[in-house]
Amino acid sequence: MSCRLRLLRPPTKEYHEARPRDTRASKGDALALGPTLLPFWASWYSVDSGSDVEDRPQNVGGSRLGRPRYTVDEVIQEFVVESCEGLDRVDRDLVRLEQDPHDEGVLRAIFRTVHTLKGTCGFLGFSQLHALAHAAENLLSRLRDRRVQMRPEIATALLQFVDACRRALIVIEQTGKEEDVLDVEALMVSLRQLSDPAAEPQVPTPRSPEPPAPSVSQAEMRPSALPPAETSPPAPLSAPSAPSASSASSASSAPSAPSAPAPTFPPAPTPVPPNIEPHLSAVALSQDVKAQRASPSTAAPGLDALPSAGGVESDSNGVGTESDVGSEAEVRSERAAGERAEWTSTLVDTSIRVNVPLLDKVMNLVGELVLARNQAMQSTSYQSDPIMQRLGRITTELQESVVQMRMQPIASLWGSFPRVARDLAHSCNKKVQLRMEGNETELDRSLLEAIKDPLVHLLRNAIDHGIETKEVRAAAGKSEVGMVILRAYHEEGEVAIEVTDDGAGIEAARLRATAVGKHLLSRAEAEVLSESEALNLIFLPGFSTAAKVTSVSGRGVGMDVVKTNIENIGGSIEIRSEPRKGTTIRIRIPLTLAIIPALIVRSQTERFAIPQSALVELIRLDAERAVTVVEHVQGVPLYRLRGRILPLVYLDEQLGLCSERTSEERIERDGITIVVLQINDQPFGLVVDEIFDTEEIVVKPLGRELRGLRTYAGATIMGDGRVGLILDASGLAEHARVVAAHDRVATTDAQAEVVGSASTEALLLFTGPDDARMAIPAATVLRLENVSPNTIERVGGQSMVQYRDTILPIVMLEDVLPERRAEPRTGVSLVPADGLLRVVVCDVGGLSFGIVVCNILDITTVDSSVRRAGGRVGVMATIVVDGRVTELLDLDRFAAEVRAPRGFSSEVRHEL
Amino acid sequence: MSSRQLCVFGVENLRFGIHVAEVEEVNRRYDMTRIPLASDAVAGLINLRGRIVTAIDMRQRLKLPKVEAWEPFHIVAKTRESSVSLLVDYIGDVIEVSEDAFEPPPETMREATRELIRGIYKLDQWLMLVLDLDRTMAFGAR
Repeated sequence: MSCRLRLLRPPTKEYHEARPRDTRASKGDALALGPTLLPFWASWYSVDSGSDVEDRPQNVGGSRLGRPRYTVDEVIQEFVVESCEGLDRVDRDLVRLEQDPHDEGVLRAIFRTVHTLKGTCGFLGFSQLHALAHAAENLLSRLRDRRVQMRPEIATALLQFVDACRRALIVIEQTGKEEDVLDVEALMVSLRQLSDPAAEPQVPTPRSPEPPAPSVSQAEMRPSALPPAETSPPAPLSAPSAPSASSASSASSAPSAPSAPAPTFPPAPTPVPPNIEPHLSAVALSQDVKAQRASPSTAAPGLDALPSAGGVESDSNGVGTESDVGSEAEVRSERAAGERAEWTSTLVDTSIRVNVPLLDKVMNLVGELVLARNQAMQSTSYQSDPIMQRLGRITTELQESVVQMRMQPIASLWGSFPRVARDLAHSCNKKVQLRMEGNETELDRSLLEAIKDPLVHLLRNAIDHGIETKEVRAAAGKSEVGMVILRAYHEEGEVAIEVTDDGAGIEAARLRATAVGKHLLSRAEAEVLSESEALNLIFLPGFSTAAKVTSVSGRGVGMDVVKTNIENIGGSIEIRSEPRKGTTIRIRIPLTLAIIPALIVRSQTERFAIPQSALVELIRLDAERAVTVVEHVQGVPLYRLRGRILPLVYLDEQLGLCSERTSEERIERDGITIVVLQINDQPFGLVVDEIFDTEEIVVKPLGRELRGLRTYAGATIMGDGRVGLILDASGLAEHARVVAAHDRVATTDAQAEVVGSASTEALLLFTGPDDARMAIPAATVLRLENVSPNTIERVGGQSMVQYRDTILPIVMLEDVLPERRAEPRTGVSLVPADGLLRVVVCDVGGLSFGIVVCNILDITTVDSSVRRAGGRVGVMATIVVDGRVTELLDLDRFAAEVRAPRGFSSEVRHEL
Repeated sequence: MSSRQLCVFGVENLRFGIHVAEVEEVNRRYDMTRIPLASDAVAGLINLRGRIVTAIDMRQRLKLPKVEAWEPFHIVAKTRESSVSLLVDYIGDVIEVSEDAFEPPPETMREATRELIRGIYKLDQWLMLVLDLDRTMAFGAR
């Protein structure tokens, strides 16, 4: 008769409760947490909808603070900002130099700035500006070499050059293009003339009678500080940027402009007598500002709102008509002043540089404010207070803004990489596809800057050294297109960035030989290096194995610099490589001083924060349900999550917060609350007593004396002012031995054939006949059943068991492993004392079947790369688990047996 | 001879001193969060106005017997990297000592105590042990 145990039942539908979303709702506005929480829900939804976990980052990214990608525009933007800063310095320095022409330091500083400007212009393809800067640089170099003496005309010309650059930069900033607006010729001629030592005694060039530029700019700048401009700083944003036809005509028709150097563009060295100009400018500016305020198109601040050239033109026309009453000169000076005011506000409003310590301080203070707010909110009497609610909202917004101020998605760094990869691949005559994962992974701005150069270097290395040429790849049976993958993700409170290529890999032997050849190591020293130590040789200064030095890499400077740079910001770098398969370089950067969303849980009397980055989902099962769905294998609780076995780990037991009861007893009494965490694609369930809420927490590192505790990622101050520990999901998993220890070194047997890549895998361990240890991947296991031998029927050479209106095929181990054919002695051992057969129900490619085993032992995680290929049919590999040789069964073989049974197994039938 | 000021505290019958400049504050009670899996010497973490400070149970650190219903004082002291709170039996005065009264710890002292001190000041009535904070903080995980 059939004797189904409680294990035998239909697949259950998970009962999710205590989702953070629900708890959030109950708290209402009190802890309004804003968009930084979104990724969490996004991950929820993606899991709910059954999509792969790998999809998660994309979903998260979709909801991440909508920030523009790093584009060419941003590069130009940065160029404009930096150049303007440089020009401001040059302005000051030129004036100083004029006062003290012998100050070489100042001269060098000017030279450097102009040189940088020239270089960048050339790089970005602004040829006019480049030519102009080149002329100025020539003049400066003559000055430096003392072939030309500093004279007022030279200072004037250089200052004019600075002004011309500024005008050009404004146009570039607004249109992204260097429009043909610069009448650089005159200026260039004058710069060239001045650089000619022979021309020195000459009477100054025609433009020298003009008032020196500094006084003009001062005169023009002053009005911008007047009240109208001051009270409406964003307003002048969209003032004229391109020369309009009217301005050109008005300028050229101006009778008092006999030799204007840049007649088509509002000139800085204006021909208007300087003594009346400030007054006119002030009047004009106030009109200008008013006109702009009236214009609706100026309402929207920010760069994106800047009108196109057409809009600008009509705008400037408007300004022009308003000031029709004035003279031509007035119009001109107004335009000049308006432009200057606009220029200042454009740049000032879009970006300023803040020194990082100040930003850190603001960040810290906001962190404190958040905590203080949280504490205030805890006292219920305040929760309904509108003032407190307002305070809460403002704090949240402030916090988000400050976090945003510092955090940027790594995509902003990677934006230029596809191009770098493409150009490099092109020049190396290789085909390379660049894939970038985890674009939305956010990093502190300063960290981003620090890793930029190292990453570019690693990318270049991957393409130049790693990826082989098309021919070599084809010969090696690889796809012609090499793959380089950049991957960024959060792990253990750190950001990990991987650069992986599927290229030639690195041969440790070659590294050893190179190290000896370069006298970095003695032969004896090199011999004793382990594989990984040998790989680390590439981080030695002066180490390069490239057969030939290319323009790109191979000069032996690089990897050591990369390592130093990474370590300078408290990160680490590691390299894994497999000859002919590829190389992965992994950078890990700490993520201290961050406000992260975390789930607050209780275990016993203690509260802990779990960073949501590791969180997959929450499951709450009440006692009635939990008793039936949480299974125990030798006291170890397991839960089936959508067909996969989820090992459960009690947080209090792991932390030594003692609990007298066994898991079974606790579940019967209280049900179970599971926080599903995921580490390296290995999910596990953390059992806690209670789930409170998600909170934004400020991560504070533990003192050095506590760093050895890998179970914690840090500490934080909770809403009530008490300190709470932040759990490190990965450290916890290691502690609970859910995953293999991180730094465990895989020792490969030289003769063993290494199958698959280095990864850990959860296995279900059981014994077969003769107490032989066997294992199958836990992921394939659907259920564990206890079946009475009587219920197994044989139909056409196939054993099967009826169960809930369906028929489950049963495979005897001996059917597939003929040499394990049960002897009478072992046949007895197949049936344990309770008279029930242990059946592992697996799913292989949609086919469900049961395997009769002797005893189910455990679920364990092993490094599946350490294995020897199986020598027998039905055995995929032989591995060592807990010091015992264990056969990893080839389930495909078993599935094949189910589909086409080989035949009868009379002995077993006899036993049954 | 120069003199310096030390803040005195006691654990059982031992009297320690730490330099006044190292002491940040003294308090009776903080809400403490214990740290599972940490060394026995770690009493927990406290929130010192937004900073998280490790509290060291000096009785445990000195391998002295536990006390029922212990109500220790906290001395928050600066270390090279951060701060630490020492849980001690009682707090004494600030006293001035002269440098020439200093001697390194004798070898015969109990190891658990000797390894934590820099030396001893010979005072008229008693001996004051000078606690070395860095060594006090250097303990292995449990």
